[in-house]
Amino acid sequence: MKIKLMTAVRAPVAALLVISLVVGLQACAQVKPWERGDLARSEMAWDPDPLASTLDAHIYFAKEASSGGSAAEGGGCGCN
Amino acid sequence: MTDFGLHHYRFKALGGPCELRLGGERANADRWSALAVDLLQTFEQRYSRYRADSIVSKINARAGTGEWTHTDTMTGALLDYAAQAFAMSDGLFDITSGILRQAWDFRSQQLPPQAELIALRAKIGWELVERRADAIRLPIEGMALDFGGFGKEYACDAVATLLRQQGCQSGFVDLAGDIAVVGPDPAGQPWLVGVRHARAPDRAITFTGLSSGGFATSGDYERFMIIDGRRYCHLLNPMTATPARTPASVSVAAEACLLAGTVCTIAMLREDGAAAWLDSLGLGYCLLHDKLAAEHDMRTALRLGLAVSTLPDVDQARLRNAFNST
Amino acid sequence: MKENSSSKALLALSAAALGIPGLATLAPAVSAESPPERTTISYAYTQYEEDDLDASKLAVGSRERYDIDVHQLGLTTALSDRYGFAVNLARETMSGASPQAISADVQGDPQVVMSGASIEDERLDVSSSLRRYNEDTTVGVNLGYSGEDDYTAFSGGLDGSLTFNDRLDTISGGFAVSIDTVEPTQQIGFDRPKSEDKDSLTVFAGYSRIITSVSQIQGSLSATRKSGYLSDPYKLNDVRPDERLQLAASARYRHFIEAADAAAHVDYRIYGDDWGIMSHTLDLAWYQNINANLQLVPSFRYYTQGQADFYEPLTGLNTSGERSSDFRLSPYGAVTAGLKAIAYGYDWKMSIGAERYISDADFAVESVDRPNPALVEFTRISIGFEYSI
Repeated sequence: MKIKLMTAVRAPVAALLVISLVVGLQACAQVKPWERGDLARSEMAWDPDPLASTLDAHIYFAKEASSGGSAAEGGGCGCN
Repeated sequence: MTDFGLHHYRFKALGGPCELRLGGERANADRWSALAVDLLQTFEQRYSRYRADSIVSKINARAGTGEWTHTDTMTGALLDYAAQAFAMSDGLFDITSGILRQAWDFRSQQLPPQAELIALRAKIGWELVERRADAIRLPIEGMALDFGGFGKEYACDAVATLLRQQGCQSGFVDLAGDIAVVGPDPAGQPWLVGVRHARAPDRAITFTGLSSGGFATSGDYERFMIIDGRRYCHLLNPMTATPARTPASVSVAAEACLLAGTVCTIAMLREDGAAAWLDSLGLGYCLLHDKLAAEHDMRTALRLGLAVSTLPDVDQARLRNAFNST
Repeated sequence: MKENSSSKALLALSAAALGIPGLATLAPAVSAESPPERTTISYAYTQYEEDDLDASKLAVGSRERYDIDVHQLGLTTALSDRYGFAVNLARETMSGASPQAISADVQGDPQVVMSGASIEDERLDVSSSLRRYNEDTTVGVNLGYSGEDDYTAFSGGLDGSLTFNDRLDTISGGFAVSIDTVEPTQQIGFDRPKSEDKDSLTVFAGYSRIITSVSQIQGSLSATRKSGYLSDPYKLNDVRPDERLQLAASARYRHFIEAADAAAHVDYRIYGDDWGIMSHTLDLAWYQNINANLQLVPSFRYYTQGQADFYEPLTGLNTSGERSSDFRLSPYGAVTAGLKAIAYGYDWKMSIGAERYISDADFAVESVDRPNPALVEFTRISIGFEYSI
């Protein structure tokens, strides 16, 4: 049981290492400032609709065991 | 430090000769020039009307179909600028007027038929262009945008800005006569810029100093034909669909090459009102009159009223030095 | 007079020139971090409806599960050229019954014991943030409050970002604390605590990078430590550890496809905690531009989790030690499919969307012997409106 416990916590850390490796290896292309027009589109944002994603996070927080990820969330709730 | 100096690069870009003079170490200057080439190529890919995959070609291909074309931030800003220039010029600076080139062939030595001009005239007018926050649509089939009237000048500024961001402190960018300064010459002095003699375009009629901003010239000698003693040049008035009766040339110094270029074009299209309008802007300019002859030098032209210049004078001693040393 | 209007026109032209990216000749700060240019007010209404519990899965109580109406109001604005401010309000009205325990029927199959009467509750959520924008960095302060009849949470946090390498790379990080109080509504026959506290601390860090002119990627890690009363006071025989360490690592990817005039979003998250739960979440969305004013966004989400170490498929199997039969701690998988349409105008945006969520033990990665019968399924419909000044 102790082993499983450790696996669960370690998995995200291991995953992060893989992710950072992938992110870090993308160093080759230097995208010039004037080539970033498409990246500035609203649909390319990390979070195009903040109101909707706040609610998404809230609902999944209330109905599933997992939370967290890319930013800190606000307080909890008593939702069941 | 041994290789610190002024480095010179020449290449073709945006359909014309490009010249870079960059002060600094050789390795840096080489890198900066490569960045400049890269930027100019990207710009050409995106905005050239000669390339089918450019944004401009995409917008033009959809003219009259009712379909919108998405405009990214940069394209939107360029269009906003064109809109402002249209307003400022009372409709003379119009990026939809490029289609008139279909009728006006300056090598033909012939005036186009009136009917053709009338047909084209109906497809010109920035006020007809429909725009939304991030999209544009041309309502009439055959209507077309052309960034040729200001794209090159913008690209010139963009290169200068980029090189400055990259650490270049001394140099300038010259795209077929449109100039943007990166920084003053290695001695900290303004660059000497020659104003082309409109009737002897391979000669300078005068010089001015430029240590920042941009400089541009518009002349009736670039593309023209003379029929029955009248000169028809490439600067077409969008209202009449015919060449404007422009001064021989207008050169302007401004905070940016883009502004200088737009002001030159508008001044030329204002015909006899050019000098008064330029005076009201408070920018340094040099206007050469249509009656100027090749043998006139600047002093004579000024005395005869064939030229007006408010450009800052260059110290004669410095001018002599510059020419003695080359 | 003429002179005046001409030079004004020249100023307007200079201003328009300045607006073009890459032309920073006149003002060097064009590419710096800056607060939102326009003030935006947004409103969204969401109707969230859980499916009634299947009659065959009900042991006793009401079959009706939660329905929630959510009104959200948001405001983002610049306070100066250096400060931005945002505030969000949410008001939820909930009604329905909730699962209290899992019992076995005559064949030994699990069934849900639901609360008898419908619960009515309201929740108010207020969150706000103040952010300072510098040349290459931003720093933000966040404050939040969430209140219900039986639950109050105060939260606050700090976060920051730094962009470098010609603005191709951005690192961000921060922390948040939340101080919560549970004051369960009492019911005769139930031994519920009067008032309990729960605190949490989250730290997170992220790294995003522009890969090409059409793609960018982000990796991040968050860690949350919760302590205090972490059990569910409304469930029978629910005793959980009073500490929980949660870790989540996520990767997000955005790719614009010029030929399709669409943007693809791929998000993945792996999560693990010291209660023994591990989960994977995959979020996919496709932002298809139909024309300049209309976007269609189909989306798909897959989620799967393993069970908590102390999870028991039937309530009361254990009478001592940590134990819970909450479906949220059970092993299962869930699928969400959604479709959203977004219409854009010059200064407004409207959206309408629908989503269906189903969860099942069969969707779990591992096979599950005794699925929890209380697993939830819901439908969500939302409309949103946004106006920028």
